[in-house]
Amino acid sequence: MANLRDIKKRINSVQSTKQITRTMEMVATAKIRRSTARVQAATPYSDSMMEMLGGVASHAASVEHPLLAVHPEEKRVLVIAVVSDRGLAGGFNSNILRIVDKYHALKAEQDIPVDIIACGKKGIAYFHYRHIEPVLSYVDLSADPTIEQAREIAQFAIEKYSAGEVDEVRVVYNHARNAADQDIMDEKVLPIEANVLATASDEAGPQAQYEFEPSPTEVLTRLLPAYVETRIYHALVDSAAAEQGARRKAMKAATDNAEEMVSTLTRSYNRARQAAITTEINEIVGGAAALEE
Amino acid sequence: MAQMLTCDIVTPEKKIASFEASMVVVPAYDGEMGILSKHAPIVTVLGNGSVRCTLENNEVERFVIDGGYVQVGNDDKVIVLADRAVKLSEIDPAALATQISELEQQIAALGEEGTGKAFLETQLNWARIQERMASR
Repeated sequence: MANLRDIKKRINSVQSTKQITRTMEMVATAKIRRSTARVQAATPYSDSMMEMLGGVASHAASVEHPLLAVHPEEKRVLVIAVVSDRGLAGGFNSNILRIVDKYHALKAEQDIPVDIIACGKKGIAYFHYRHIEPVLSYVDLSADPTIEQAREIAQFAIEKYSAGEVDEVRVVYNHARNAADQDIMDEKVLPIEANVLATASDEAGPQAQYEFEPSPTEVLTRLLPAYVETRIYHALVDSAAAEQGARRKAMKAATDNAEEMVSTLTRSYNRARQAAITTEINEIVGGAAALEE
Repeated sequence: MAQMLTCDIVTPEKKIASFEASMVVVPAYDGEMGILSKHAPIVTVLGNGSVRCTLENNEVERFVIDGGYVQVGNDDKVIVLADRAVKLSEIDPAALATQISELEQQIAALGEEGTGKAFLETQLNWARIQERMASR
């Protein structure tokens, strides 16, 4: 049986771990609110944008635009992996990285190189370890993504796609379904799929017949890059919200585990103590009996 | 009394402002465009410059924007979807000047074809637009 002091030591260390995890849980809880507010703040823009896109698409149905054009052959793809700067968030980072890695391996079999844009320290570290160098990488922004960052990524992707250097752009990120659960999203950003426009124009429905200045095509040409930006920005803020949710969940589980462990340890501590006392009493009684004889 | 329009100024990050106005002037791609009540539904590409909203009490709210669209619905609703926007009174000329010189240095440091140069240039451009509008 483990001796008393060892058990006591373990109880103490588990207890201090518990304090840390509980603090992290509370911090994450506080941050969830802020990051969800950011997602909501971005909604009016993306809603209006979808509405406009729908309106334009129904006017300029057969428009040709480099961002809409599907490249006939897949020679190179670009993947934007959105993870976090910090760990301790359960499967938050590893889920995304595993998907990207699988995709990378799949494409490697077909001899298609995959360029990766890594957002978040964890992603950079992972790819570095795998000897994959990201073409662009961002740190210290996972908790507070900015529109500028999204613009930079979008600009890069659009440039490469229009120039024919990449033939598909995907973004992989965690979507915050609610405060506790995350869904892994793997979306195609470029080429912009025709059905996006179609659904947008269906939803826009038969409302106001807008006039377009200078022309529907021209408006669409400017709207599409902004749409890509919005998609990427949305992925970033959504992922930031999901990160806090995932961390809170992970830390809650850790705190609960620690609590359970403390109670098990305390039980064995008491048992060991009792055993020691019993032995002592036995010895005393035995000694007294020996004297009497 | 003039009929009122509802005007929202929205950027990808957040809604900057929302109010009732009797007239909204926006910088369209080819010159300024004034919008009054009962304007025909229209979507227009914007350039850069100032958005001016005349409020009920004849006060004018000014904003500086760069790029985007304006959408006028048939229900007297004006939505300005700006790529970048800021309230004119919130611009700090001193901070802006430092920002401009910093950006210029960064661009100079990148040389001919550093990655991210185009991005820094758009930043610089936006700072300059703000400076120009603020100094008016």
